[in-house]
Amino acid sequence: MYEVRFHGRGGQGAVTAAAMLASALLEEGKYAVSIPSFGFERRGAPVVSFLRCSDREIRQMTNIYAPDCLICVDPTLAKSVDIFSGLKPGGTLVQATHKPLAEVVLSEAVGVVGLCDAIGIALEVFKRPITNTLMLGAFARTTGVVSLEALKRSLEDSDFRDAGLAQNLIALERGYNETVVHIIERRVAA
Amino acid sequence: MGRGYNTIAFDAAKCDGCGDCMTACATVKTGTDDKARSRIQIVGSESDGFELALCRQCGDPKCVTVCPAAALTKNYDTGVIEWNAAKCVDCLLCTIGCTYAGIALDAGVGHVAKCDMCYASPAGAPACVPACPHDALTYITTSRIYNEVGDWEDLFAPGLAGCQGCNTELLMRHTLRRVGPDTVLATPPGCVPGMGSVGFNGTTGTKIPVFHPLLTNTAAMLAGIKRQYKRVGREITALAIAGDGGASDVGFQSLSGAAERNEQILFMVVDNEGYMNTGMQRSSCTPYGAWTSTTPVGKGSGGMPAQGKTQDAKNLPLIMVNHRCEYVATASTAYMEDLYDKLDKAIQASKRGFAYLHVYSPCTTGWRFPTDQNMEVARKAVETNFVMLWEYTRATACTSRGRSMIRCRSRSI
Amino acid sequence: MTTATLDAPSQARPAKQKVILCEGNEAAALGVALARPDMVAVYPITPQSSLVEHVAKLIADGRMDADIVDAEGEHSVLSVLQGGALAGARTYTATCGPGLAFMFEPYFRTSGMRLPIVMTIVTRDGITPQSVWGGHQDAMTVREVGWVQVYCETVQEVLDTTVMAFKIAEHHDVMLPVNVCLDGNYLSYGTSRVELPEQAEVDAFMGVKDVNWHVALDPLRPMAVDPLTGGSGGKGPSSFVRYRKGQCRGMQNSLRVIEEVHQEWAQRFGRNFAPLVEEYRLDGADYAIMTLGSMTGAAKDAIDEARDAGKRVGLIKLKTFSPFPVEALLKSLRKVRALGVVDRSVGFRWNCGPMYQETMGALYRLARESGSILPSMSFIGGLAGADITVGHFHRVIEATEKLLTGSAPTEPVWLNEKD
Repeated sequence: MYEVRFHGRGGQGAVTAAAMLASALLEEGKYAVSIPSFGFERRGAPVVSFLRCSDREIRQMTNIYAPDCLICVDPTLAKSVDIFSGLKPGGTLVQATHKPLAEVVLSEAVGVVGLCDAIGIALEVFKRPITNTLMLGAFARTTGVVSLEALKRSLEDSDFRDAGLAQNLIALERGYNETVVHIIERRVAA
Repeated sequence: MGRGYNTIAFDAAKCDGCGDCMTACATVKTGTDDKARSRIQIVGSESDGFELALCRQCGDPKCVTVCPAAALTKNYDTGVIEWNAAKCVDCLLCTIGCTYAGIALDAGVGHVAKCDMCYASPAGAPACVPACPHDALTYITTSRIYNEVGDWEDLFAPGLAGCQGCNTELLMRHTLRRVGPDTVLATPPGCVPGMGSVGFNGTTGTKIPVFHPLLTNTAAMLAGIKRQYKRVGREITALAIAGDGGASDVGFQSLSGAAERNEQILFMVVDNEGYMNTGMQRSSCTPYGAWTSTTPVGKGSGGMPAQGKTQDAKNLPLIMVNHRCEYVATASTAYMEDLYDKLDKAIQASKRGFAYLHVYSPCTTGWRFPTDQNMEVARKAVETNFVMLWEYTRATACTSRGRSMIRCRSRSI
Repeated sequence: MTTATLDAPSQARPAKQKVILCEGNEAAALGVALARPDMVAVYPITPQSSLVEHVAKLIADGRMDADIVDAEGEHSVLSVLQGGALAGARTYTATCGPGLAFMFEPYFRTSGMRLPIVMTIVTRDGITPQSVWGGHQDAMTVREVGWVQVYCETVQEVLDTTVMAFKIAEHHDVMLPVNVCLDGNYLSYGTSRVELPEQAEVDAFMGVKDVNWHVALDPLRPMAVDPLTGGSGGKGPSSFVRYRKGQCRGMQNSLRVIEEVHQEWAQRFGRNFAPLVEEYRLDGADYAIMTLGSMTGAAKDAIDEARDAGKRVGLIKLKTFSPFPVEALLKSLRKVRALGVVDRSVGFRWNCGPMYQETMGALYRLARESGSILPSMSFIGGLAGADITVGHFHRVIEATEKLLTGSAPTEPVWLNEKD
């Protein structure tokens, strides 16, 4: 079982991203379950959603408390929310940011970091800071848990159409290609 | 079933003996203004009151029986007792036979003369009636309804257990006759099912499909029924006969919702100004000052006497107008022609959308007046403008007797 | 007796079904579409809203041919459907929490009129303290109103059970409304892999619709529906008593029909859900925990871990809660020597979970036949959107194990009290 926790703000599409990832995993013949956190999801407020994937049927329908991976689609979120809560030792962080690794907030548990200037790319592609599909590309690049091809097929099967679909496919691909992956050796050793 | 005929009604309380009716009659019938030759005669005095001497067009006319020459006959098409000059022998026995002084010698021509309701005149209606400046005379044409619907099947079972003199039972029976058998009838808790329209213990009081909705969901249930029949291509009328309490208070939400969705329903409210079936409690349709069992009259407390309901009635029909219904009208059983006219319009409107009919209906038991006075109380309520009869369509807005009730004045600013 | 329309599917193996990914609310909507109702009435409420949005979209997209009524509140939602059903329509709606409370008046009446309306309860806790989150309190509160109530564990089960619910409700031996309960939040928004049956296969499964043969508002066969009916008959048997007995008989019949319909579903579509009571690793268990709804997934994972650790524990899950499947439950209870019951709601009168309270009735039956009392206890968890995790179930397993040697506590254990 591989567990992912998405962090974002209301309106950024963290919940949609989790569902899209689940759909891509399904394309690859895996089992996937996603659930959003439950609350009043107002635009701009921090939101969380969860995704489990496995080669066999997934039975638990609960929140995720000890994720293997965090996907944070908002660069400023780590200031207000403890996104690292419960991350498994050596776990993965996929973070939207334009900053270099040295300036990114990490926790002791983080072993792998994928950084993607998602906002910068999104402003070029969408003219708006929509980062969720970009970050799915970044996730694929960082973890290899899902393939870029499966994510593309999942986008093509979604409600996106025409120009929207084309933009999102570009975003996905650029997210994948422009993500820099760092292995935090020191922390894995610790 | 026999026929009903139009008639001239006289309200002695309104008559001041001016004699304009007699002048009008004489003018039409003799070409003179000689009141003595008028076939309608007002007799009496201001101190003793006035009375009417006029042919009643009796169903069992004594004048006809006593005539030795068969000069008088009852015309069963018009109801008029006709006089045949060719047969008359001028014996005047008929003038003695009539109790009402309805036939008398016209000295100007030397024969008897009597009222023929001006049937042959171009107007086809009596000349005396419109001549009365005080509305003491009225030409009553409700017989049209009797002749038209009298033979139709009453779709309620005989022996509904309404109170003596109940206006609602009259209204129900007339309404359902008109709406007809291809109807599903909803009668929410109240007097209408209380008198047995939905029956007891597996019996029924109605010959068409009928049901008890909840007090709260009449319009919603009817909407579901109508929609399903529409879906399968069957034409039915979805009819509610509801009380004012259920409609204006606890059932108002579903009523308002169904009206807003323009569901194809004919919703009739019988407004007896309270919860009469449960023992005369106050509803939001109870008018200001009215005694009810929950707004009693008494000494009160703190120096404030209890004087009945302390708020005005909710004007439910006007609220329904603001739902932009297909049709809204108020009616009274004292004005059956008007009621039938509005019922017909409401039935037609309910094929297109929501039709709402609000009928003012005095309650002998709850209002505590004699059981033979229902029509009189209903009539007085209208005559005094305590209630108003009007109708609304989207095209005409609110009108009363064909005249707009909304006066708009353009003003330069 | 088998169901009237049962005919064996053409192939021995069920046809391949389209696999999609959807949330539980969408799965319910897809199940509704497959069952082809004539009329759907809706009013939005969290966490049900996306369900009725999905239904509205299916209709707007021409994938479902039903009359949709956007009523002005839940009270009218159910009332519109009652009218529709009395005129012969197959009808559906969904609600929860305050909406269910608001529709209680017509809700009570639906079972009395024997109208086979299907209604999803996307279960929600509350009403006060204010809560928009999951919990079984709403559905449990109305468990004594004569509706058949079944609880789903997975998103797939939501879809399949929604279709089956129509067939159960409309079975002539049942003629009762059915609630398909799906856990608010967890199943409503939980997105998962779902196999979608073919419409033609479902049509063959459903058979011919006939929902108002017993009571109708139809000018072609006029009758009075729901006249005043007294408890004392005068001459002959009392109509009221006859009526109530009929309702009770319908409820009892439904136990058999639920099993038959689930069997037929398994035959046609290859998915086998326990219709009344599910046993998981109960054989060889000394004690069991009992669950309801979506919490069961985490409980099964905990049972696996406990078994791996050498604990002799099994699981009993109820799918059908109303009518209470006493006989089926007794078969499972006979296999164990201690029982811990986990509720996602509160039974105020007995200071325990409602499922535990109902189970005590079955335990009395068990005590009468065995002469000894099965020790048991009540756990309450997962209120107002709280999780019942694998960790919580380990606590449940440990506490239940202690019943084998110690005495049973009279107070319930509140699982999330210190989370």
